[in-house]
Amino acid sequence: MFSSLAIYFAEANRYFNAELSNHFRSIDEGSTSAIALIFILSFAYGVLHALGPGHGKALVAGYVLANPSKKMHVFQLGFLIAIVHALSALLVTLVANYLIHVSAMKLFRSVNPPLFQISGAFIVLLSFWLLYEVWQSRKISKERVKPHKSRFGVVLLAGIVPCPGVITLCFFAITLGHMEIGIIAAFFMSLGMGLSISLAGLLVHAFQKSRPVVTQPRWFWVLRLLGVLCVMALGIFFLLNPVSSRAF
Amino acid sequence: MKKLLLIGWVCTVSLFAHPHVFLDTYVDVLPDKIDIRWVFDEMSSSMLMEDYDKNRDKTLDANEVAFMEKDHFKTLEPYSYFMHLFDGKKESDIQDVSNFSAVFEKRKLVYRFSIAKPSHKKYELRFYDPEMFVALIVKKNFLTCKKEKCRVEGYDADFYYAYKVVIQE
Repeated sequence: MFSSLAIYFAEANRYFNAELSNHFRSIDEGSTSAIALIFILSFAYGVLHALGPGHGKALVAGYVLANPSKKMHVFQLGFLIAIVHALSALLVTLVANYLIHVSAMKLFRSVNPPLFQISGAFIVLLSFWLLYEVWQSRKISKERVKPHKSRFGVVLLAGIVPCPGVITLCFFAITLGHMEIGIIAAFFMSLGMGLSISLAGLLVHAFQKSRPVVTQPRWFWVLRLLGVLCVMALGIFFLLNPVSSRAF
Repeated sequence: MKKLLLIGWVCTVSLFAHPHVFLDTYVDVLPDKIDIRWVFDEMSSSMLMEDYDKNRDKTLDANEVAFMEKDHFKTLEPYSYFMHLFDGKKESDIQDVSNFSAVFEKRKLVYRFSIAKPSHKKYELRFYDPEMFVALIVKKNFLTCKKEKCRVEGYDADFYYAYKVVIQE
């Protein structure tokens, strides 16, 4: 079943990619609805696109498990990560196109591996801080856990690696002379991605509120520790397995 | 329990492919070789043209194609050009490709190349990118066989579902 889902997922991504291309072309043919459709499709593409790996969902899930947060903070995390992810991609696209005159994907392939590793190193550091906090609180119940501002660090660490999907979309818009529409479409795409990333955090949040966890403070603490270990494992994975810099 | 199942489902979905480049892959099985044609999606085509159509005339001349082959296509050799041969016992990489050409037509970049035809009576050509960045799509009507019996099937590459072409003499 999961195998079939994977191919539907790839085909659906291809569908959105092709539809967005067609509607960008339609703008020049005078279609009035094309721009609105681009924004709607970009949002939906963002939701679907961020279901794939590499958009910070695992980090958010691990972080929320380690550091229980309010629902509002989970949404804040998800949407801010997506926006930083898109802004980073936008920066790569604009620098590539207007400053160094190469395709954005070429620049992406150069900056992505070191950014991945730097991000990984900081995630490992964050995990040690979380570990210290969780260890300190091993004898207290969940009510004492206060959400803190480290979530903004998570936003930066997870979002700083540019999203190639946004890069492709913006670059294509620029080549057709529709940079402004491309930037707004990137914003809509990031909102869609934010929704998917938030969903990962919300599932963990819902799990933390489930009866067995709420009634057993010890379980609650063990889950927090598990969350820290997830964050640490992710950081180590990013650090030791940089993405390749192949042509595409 | 329901919540646990839901979390499990999301985690599994998260491990799935996450493609950014889409290649319609056409396979033509000939008596002495197999011709492959990749048709890039329009967005990826525009990116690659930006890098390789140096004079911006929307066509690729011989020099541009030669550079594209060296600087782009050949770098995919360690990835077996996203094709893997399965002879019924083991999967092997594709090392040798020939007759590379590239054109830009109908707003899409098209790569054409050939691979040697295996000597086995029955074999599979599996199409997937192990990094999951490129999705290779093979449809029934993308496949042409002259003498052999051929069919397109889904291929479950453990973590990434892809396509394969089964060829029987």
